[in-house]
Amino acid sequence: MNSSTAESERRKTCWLLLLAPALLTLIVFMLIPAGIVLRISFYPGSTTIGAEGYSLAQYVKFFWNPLHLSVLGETVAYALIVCLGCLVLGFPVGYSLARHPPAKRRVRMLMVIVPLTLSLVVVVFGWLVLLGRQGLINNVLVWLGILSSPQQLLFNRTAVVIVLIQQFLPFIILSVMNVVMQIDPFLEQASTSLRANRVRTFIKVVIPLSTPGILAGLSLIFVMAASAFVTPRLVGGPRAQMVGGFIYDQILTTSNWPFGAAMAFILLAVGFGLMAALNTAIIRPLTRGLHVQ
Amino acid sequence: MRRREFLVVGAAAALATVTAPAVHAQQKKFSGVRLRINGYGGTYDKALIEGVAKPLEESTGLKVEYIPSSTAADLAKLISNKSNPHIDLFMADSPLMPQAIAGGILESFSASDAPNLSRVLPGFREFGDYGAPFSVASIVPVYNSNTVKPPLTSFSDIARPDLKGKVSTMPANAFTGWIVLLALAEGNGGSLANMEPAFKIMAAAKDNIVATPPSSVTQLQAFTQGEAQAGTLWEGRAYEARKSGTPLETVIAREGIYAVTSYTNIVRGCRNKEAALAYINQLLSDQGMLSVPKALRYGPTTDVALGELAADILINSRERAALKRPIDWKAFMEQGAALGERMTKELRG
Repeated sequence: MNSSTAESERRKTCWLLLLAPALLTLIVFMLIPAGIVLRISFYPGSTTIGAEGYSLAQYVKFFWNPLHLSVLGETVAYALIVCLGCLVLGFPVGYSLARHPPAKRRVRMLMVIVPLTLSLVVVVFGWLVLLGRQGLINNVLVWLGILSSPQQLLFNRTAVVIVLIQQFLPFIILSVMNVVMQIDPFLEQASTSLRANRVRTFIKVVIPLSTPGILAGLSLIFVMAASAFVTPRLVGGPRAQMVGGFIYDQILTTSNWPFGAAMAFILLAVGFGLMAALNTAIIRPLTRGLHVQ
Repeated sequence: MRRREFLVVGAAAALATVTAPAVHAQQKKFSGVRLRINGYGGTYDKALIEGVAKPLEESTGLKVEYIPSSTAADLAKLISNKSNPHIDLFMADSPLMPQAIAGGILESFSASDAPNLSRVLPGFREFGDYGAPFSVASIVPVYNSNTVKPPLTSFSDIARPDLKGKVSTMPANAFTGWIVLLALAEGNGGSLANMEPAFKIMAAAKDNIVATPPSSVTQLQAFTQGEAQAGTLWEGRAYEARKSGTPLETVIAREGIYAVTSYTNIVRGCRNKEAALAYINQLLSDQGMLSVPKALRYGPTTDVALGELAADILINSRERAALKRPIDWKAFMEQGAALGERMTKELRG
């Protein structure tokens, strides 16, 4: 008994030692700075220079302004639409990659990963060229006779959604692929042998078993889409606004760090809240009683 | 000559050859001194390197390193790290100057420290003894002369009914957009204290405005790619558009010229203030002053003779300089966020 307790203690210590570098990095570079930003959000004025005291003024200012609320709503809507778009487009790709033999999978995976190595600004500028009035898409549509003259495809909400989906698609593909690879293909065959058709097998077997991967991918995409500011700024035009851009402006344009910090934490809270709600309402019921090997 | 003498003389000659440049450099006033300055990037920095840094290094040995970055981010760093500034000289435009001064990060200096400061034209040194103004850039109404007729004559023309879906203007979240608002207000009986006329024009122009690109590069792109046919733009970018074949005409608006001056400041706690003053004096010399106009066609701030460049530059004479509208930058920036929010609201509808 004593030796097993000692062994268990030793294992605990080993785990702690293994976790220590990552924990330390998180504490020093994420939790402490986040704590400082949280503190700044409670300063009453519009500057941190000489600021002191605690106040909810920044939060009140945010929730009292219909513009901020509408932009927050729009941000969440963008993030949800982008998640849905990525899921619809990315799930089949991730599934098919997982079911490919490893040699074929490698080349296709490279095609999925390569866009992630490009700078975001370069990608967005590429879209500016593609979607411009003199861009490839307009030229092809005019050449095919679908359009009589080049149309404005840039500077609207649709352009923002399209570019965001393209940016984040690899994340859902990789997440789905990883989880589907762990699903034994015999389970699908077993379902078929029990007279379930392909659609039923997909809904009753594949989707529930791949839910952890979907959840992981969607969480990443939701967080990144909700905090996007380069894409909406460059392709969105005056009517497409996101909270990320507002935060950037408060910090770097008007130097109102307290308000920028408060907006950052509001966005964080909304993101956490929505992910928790999604988990409780959809993911848990789907995965109840299921175990992915 | 005996072998031994030959070797001694040879060695001495070789040593002299090797050490001569070093000895020469030692004699220069600022040899071994390196100053760091934030850069605006690209052509702008190249122009300053050619016209200011290189000649200064040749004459004094002073090395200047340009570090391209975001001015606002540099300002934030300087304020948050006063005891150990990451740069010695700080380039900033008029809108950021009040905050830099309030933040206590700048050294003051006068013409007795940098004699060429006495050549600065009236109205260009807007912040007392802080900063050396070295370039002026104007935001002007622009239009494509092939597709927009009649020409624009004022900022308010962005609301003209015939320009539906054709206008690009400055973004609501930057001082450039707020300057356009100020021009709209002042041109229609308002002022910084009464901006309502500007928002009326902005609301009327809502359906005209297709783009408010965030940077001057993307603003230029909107015009050169045909996304926009009229609007507002930096005069230097309009010149670039013309150079690349887009007939983008600039207008001296009836509201006047709304311009931003670029300053070089000495950061408090810089490595070598004397060297920093030498840089500023070179910047304001004829050679330094012409570097930016030559490359980008932005205007000078001194009495330097522009020669052939004058035709392409908006503020090219004392008379034109007098058209520059004075702006209370401190009050302007204090209102900025509210102006931007209201503009966003008007444009979102």
